[in-house]
Amino acid sequence: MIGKRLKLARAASGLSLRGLQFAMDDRVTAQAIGKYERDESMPGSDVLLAMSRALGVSPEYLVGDADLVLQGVEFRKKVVTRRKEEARIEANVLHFMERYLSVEAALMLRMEDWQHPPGAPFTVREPQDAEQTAVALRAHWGLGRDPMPNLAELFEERGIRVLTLDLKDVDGLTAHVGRPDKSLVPVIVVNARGWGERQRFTLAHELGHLLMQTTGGLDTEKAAHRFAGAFLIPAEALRASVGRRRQSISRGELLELKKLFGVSVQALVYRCRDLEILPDKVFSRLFREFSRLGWRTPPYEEPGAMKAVQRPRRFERLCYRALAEGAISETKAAELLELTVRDVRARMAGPI
Amino acid sequence: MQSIMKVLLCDSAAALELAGDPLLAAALDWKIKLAVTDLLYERELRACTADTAKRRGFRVEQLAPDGLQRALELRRLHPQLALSDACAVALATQRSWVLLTMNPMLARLAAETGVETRDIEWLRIETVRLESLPPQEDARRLDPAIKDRRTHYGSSEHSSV
Repeated sequence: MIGKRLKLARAASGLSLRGLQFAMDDRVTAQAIGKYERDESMPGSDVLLAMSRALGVSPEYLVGDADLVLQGVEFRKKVVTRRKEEARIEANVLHFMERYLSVEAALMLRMEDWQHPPGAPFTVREPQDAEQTAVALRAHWGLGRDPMPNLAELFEERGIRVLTLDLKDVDGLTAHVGRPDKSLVPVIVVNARGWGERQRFTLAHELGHLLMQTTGGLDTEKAAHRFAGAFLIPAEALRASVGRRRQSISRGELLELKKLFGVSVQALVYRCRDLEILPDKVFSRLFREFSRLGWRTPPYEEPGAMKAVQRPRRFERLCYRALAEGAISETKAAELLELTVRDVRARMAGPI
Repeated sequence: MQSIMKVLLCDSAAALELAGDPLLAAALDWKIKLAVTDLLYERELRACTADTAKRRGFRVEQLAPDGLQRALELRRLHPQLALSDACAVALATQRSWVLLTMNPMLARLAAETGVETRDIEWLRIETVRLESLPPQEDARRLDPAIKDRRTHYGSSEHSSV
């Protein structure tokens, strides 16, 4: 049956039952759509197609696995996000995860859990605990203190699924997808439209949410920010680069550090303040300058802005691998990748 | 002119092979009815050469609610099936049509559910057998084509109706 998915897709579109009826050129009545949503009846394939077109989703999404559910969604909001946008994101995440889990099943890959340090999620009472959580994770993953070139790939290697979506009012979100067998799969979603350095920070921030539970009145978002800074810019690596105490720092030096760590200049300055490398008055002066330069307002473009490079590739690679190994047909590969069979053939052949 | 001989329902790969292929024209002239589900048509064929094929008689078929329900059950039982392929099997079952497929996995499943299957090599051979193309042209086109299909799609059974 298609009730749950249809209801979610309609919420994401912002259409009423009657609105959907009109968007489908009155092919079926609002009452009939209501029955589909309550799983009291099924449409035929023509109505399914008409609904998918009107709702801007694929027919495969509408008939997808209703037993997959999204749990514990935490949006990192810029502004108050509308229910419609949240529903759109949830629908996209569910559809992506369904396809991701499907190709993993075809290849008989089963990642039991993501590679978190023993004891996680950790209880975090003060910012320093977030710092320690980042240190523990780096140690657990054997990362040393070097900068990390591709965060999305790293996360996926460690069992966290990453999805990029065009998001309007949200930088990113963390969620767990509940499988029918009650197991949970973590997924992080980042805005595909952001600059590379912002995407990286969002990924690290969302990772923090997976690892920490705040207590004692500590703001969850602030803790995740501190974790992200510590994870991307290890204290010792930063001190080795800029020294232990500074009374000033030039824009030129910050831009060089930005290249090294793959973070925004603003994240670097925050990090310098957190580690007491820069005093508060220098921090404030720098941020006034950043505001004057327009770096703190959309589109948040700093000099040396990194292109959005954090697109995860694992899912795509798994699809091509499954096809090459005969675990799925090319029709199935096209369905999973949301391409046509022609496109899949062209991509399998590679550039000539 | 011969009367309509068969309706063959095509899976994605088979439909793509046929779309724009001169063999399709010959097959349609020869009155083999070829059909695809509307889901497959929308997904793969609308944007390419199949509009021409549709004008010539390539049929686009819908699944009734119970047919779609059956397709979803098939897909639940066989998650490796694409939706459009599950719909093709369900429709072929409902209408007792033959399924033209180039997907060995789908052919096996269709056979298990009692659906008769054929592949494109069969269609080529039948077309040539009935001399719907000039013999010399057939010979030039057919031999490498068969060889090519066998290389890619293995040794599925061929039979004629």
